[in-house]
Amino acid sequence: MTAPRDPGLDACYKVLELPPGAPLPAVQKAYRRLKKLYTGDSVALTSIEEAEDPKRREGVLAELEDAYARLQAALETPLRPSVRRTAPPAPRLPEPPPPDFDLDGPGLRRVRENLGLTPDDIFAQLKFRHELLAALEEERFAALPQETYLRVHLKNLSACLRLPAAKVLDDYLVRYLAWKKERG
Amino acid sequence: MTDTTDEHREGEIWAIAGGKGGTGKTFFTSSAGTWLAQLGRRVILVDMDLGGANLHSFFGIHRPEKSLTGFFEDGLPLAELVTETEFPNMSLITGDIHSLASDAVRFTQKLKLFRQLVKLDVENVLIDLGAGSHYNILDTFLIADRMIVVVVPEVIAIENMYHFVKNTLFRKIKLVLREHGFKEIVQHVWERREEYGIKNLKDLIDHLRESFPYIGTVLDKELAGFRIHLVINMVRNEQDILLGQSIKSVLGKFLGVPILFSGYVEYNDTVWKSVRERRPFMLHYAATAGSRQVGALVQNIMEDRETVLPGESH
Repeated sequence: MTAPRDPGLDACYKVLELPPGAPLPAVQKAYRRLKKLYTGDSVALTSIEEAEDPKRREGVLAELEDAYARLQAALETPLRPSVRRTAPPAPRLPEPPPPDFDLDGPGLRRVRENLGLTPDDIFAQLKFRHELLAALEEERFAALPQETYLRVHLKNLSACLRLPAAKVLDDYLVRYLAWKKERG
Repeated sequence: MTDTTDEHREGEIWAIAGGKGGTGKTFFTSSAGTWLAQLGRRVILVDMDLGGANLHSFFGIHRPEKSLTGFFEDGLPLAELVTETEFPNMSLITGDIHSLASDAVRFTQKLKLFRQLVKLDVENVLIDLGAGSHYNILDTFLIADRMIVVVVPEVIAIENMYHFVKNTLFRKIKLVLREHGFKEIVQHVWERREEYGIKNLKDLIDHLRESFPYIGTVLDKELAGFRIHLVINMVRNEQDILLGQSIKSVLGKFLGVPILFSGYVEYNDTVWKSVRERRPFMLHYAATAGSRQVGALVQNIMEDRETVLPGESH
């Protein structure tokens, strides 16, 4: 189904590098390709100086997510989650408290505990080893995997804890990157 | 450079560059030129790789008798420096490996070269600019009707190409700003860059656009036709081909440079073997798949079209 020509969507199509009015399957394919490119380590991306700035990369990804979400809505399809998991669905839990505190490691642990999730539950859903979860929650940065994987883990954990991934990434990753920069 | 709407523009200049040596710029210049000649166009190939000229080697010429050195050092007219090839409508202006380095060519000599180049009685001029990002190379690249970069699917070549493209864009912007009399404003802002939080040229341009909307309008207008044709050489698999699509995306999103992914050429032994044996490579290359890929590339560049990617239909 093609959307009726809406100039407001032209910018979204441009972000997805498609001609305006491209149908939903093309939009999905483009989104997957670009998502993979900008979260991966293709030589096309890693060779450009500007991509070394995590803020710029995140900016590109945020713009991509936003454009995709708007095109999805316009083409009248419910938003599909971009994270695929084969684990069993999360048990129905009460809504977590709104994140009005900084989502640092201890903050993430508080949310997890408020939801009544144990490290075993996290392992069952996300396959996080206990040591990895502990290192994340205690901010033992040196024990964490490199940034690319860390991002994925944080996003999965956010989904599991019903937190907005963007905020978790913003709060947590910034601290990780500052630590990383300091140690050289 | 010329603003005609003719289908066959006289003296249409294609400039081939890319930053790193060994990516196949001379190969592409030679094979694309041969294709154009076979389409019936009058073509001249110019070797402006002043520090490392080797266009002649692709035509089995060991030591060229006449070269651009004659133009730059002896002031000879260009028309006297043309070398014929066995193709009736394709000729060469060769360089000389001992000739001047790029940075020794003066601006006035460069202009003189261009004036004479477009007066030659040809339909296509293909200029091999060789490696490097010196502003003489950039300025020549920018004057061309079609700007073509040739890269191989490897880290260093891609890094160099990004660097080259960035330099080209900024050089263009500098020239535009200078042409429109903004030199003083730019200098004024640049001298106060710490105040404004400007750390590099990109920040400077963003600041200028915001503070002086007229500058933004001028830049938009002058950069409207700015686009670079991307050629990926020495491709060995599908992933190498798809890299072109990724490179195009990255240059668009991080530098705002529009790229046309014109196509790719597969890796082939024939070329370097012929050069090593000092035989005109096209004799043996013509029958290969790579040669057909060059032909498709030439069509795409002529029509400002992009290549079909594996898995797509057109």
